[in-house]
Amino acid sequence: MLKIDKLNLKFKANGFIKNLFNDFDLSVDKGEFICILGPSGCGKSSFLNILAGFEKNYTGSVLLNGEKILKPDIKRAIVFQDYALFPWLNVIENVSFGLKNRISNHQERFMQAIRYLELVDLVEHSRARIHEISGGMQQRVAIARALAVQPEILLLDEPLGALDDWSRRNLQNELIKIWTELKQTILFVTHSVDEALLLASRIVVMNVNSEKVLDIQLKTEHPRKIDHPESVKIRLLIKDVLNQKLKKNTQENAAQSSSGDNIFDPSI
Amino acid sequence: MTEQSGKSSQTRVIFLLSLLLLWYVICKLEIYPNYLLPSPAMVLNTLKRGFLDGAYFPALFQSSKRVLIGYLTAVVIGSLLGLAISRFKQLSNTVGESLTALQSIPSVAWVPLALLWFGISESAVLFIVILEAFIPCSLGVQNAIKNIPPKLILAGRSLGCESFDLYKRIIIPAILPQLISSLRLSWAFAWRALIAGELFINGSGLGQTLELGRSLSDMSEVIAMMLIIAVIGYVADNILFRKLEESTNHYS
Repeated sequence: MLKIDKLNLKFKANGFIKNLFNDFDLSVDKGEFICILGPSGCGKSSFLNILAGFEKNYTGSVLLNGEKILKPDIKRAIVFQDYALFPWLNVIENVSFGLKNRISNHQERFMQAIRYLELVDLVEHSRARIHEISGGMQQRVAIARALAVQPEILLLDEPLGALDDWSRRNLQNELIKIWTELKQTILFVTHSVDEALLLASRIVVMNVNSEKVLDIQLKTEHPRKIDHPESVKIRLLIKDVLNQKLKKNTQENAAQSSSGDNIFDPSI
Repeated sequence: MTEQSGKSSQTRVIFLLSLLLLWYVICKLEIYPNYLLPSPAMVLNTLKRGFLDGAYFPALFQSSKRVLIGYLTAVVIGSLLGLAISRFKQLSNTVGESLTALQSIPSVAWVPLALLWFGISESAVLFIVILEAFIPCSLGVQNAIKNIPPKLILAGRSLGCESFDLYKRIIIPAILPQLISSLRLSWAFAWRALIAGELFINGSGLGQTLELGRSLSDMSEVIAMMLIIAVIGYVADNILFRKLEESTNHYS
């Protein structure tokens, strides 16, 4: 469904021209729940920006159902870490925002929005103002808003990063429910290994140079436990791969005495 | 009304009454002669006569007409210019920069040029009012657009809003609270520019009446006009615009 071939993105940072992705290949099938995992600054967000259509100056081919991605489209809905809800609209108006061009009747638009508010358990708050509800609820509204346009693929940019533990766990279950009930294709970007292990049906790991270093299918049924043998095994594997690559990098860097590269984030 | 706001309006009334009392006492003590500082009673008399004779109504009407025409024109020009400057970088580097410089010129400084270009006429006053009032509006719009969280624009675009729709459904609603604040500021500038301009032209108006009072050495007329100007300015600013601002409070 989503096919990425030889992706490269050049961009300027602090006067250096940096090349991201280095001929990145990825192919996503319908119904997969993919986690893109990588340390901070590895280009995960740039990757999502390309998929969302915000960034079109890439080389290589990025196709969704054979169509080149060059501009934003409701086929690819995105959810941001900081929710990005429209504060001048209430909850249901936010959720039905993207339906304006598709459904002309106001009432029908709200009916469709209500269905997705039900999915995230927020029907009783449909008339609430955005500032009246908690961060966790706001993120659920943002997810409902993205799902309401019935996208082919749902893009999530570290959507749980700004939440407290309790809300995060809640939303993780919510995402699993959405994935199993709607068979929604999901591409989820995160720097948390545990989150990826809990949610994904497939994990793609990027290193600091935004190269793909690992691509694993996860077999365990949801809901998963963090100490499940498969999870433990894969966690070790991921840390190993990232550390190895890091060592190799530092050696190379020392040899070439080049600077300006990203530093590995130990928080993952 | 809550107890709190009842109390604060009580304090306000007491404050105004004590100012009035101070004025009254100074006049009673005859520190300054009457023709320099008329008593509250004299000013009240002048006001009463002005309104009962109907002499003030043409002035009020003419001034309101001028300020409304000038203000509305300024708001339209200012908002459109603000939108255009935010949209096109070239405009922002040229026109945008000079606006800030233009803003530091007080309206009175434009009077000589305005009188020369438009004659001693209504157009001169309109020119000054528009020139004064469009700048805060334009700067306010630019600033508000700059402050829109970029993610809101991206979210809007990914939900199917492009070009005109993006302005209608995202940018305009997002800047509305700040837009109202700049409309308020623009109003204050328009009102001052109006009075400054009217001092120099013929015909009827609040500024002209004030100037007439000066030339006849009738200070109670001057003070009466100043009071009317203050009351109208207060009502517009604190009642009309504050209500508007409160209606967008839920935004943030």
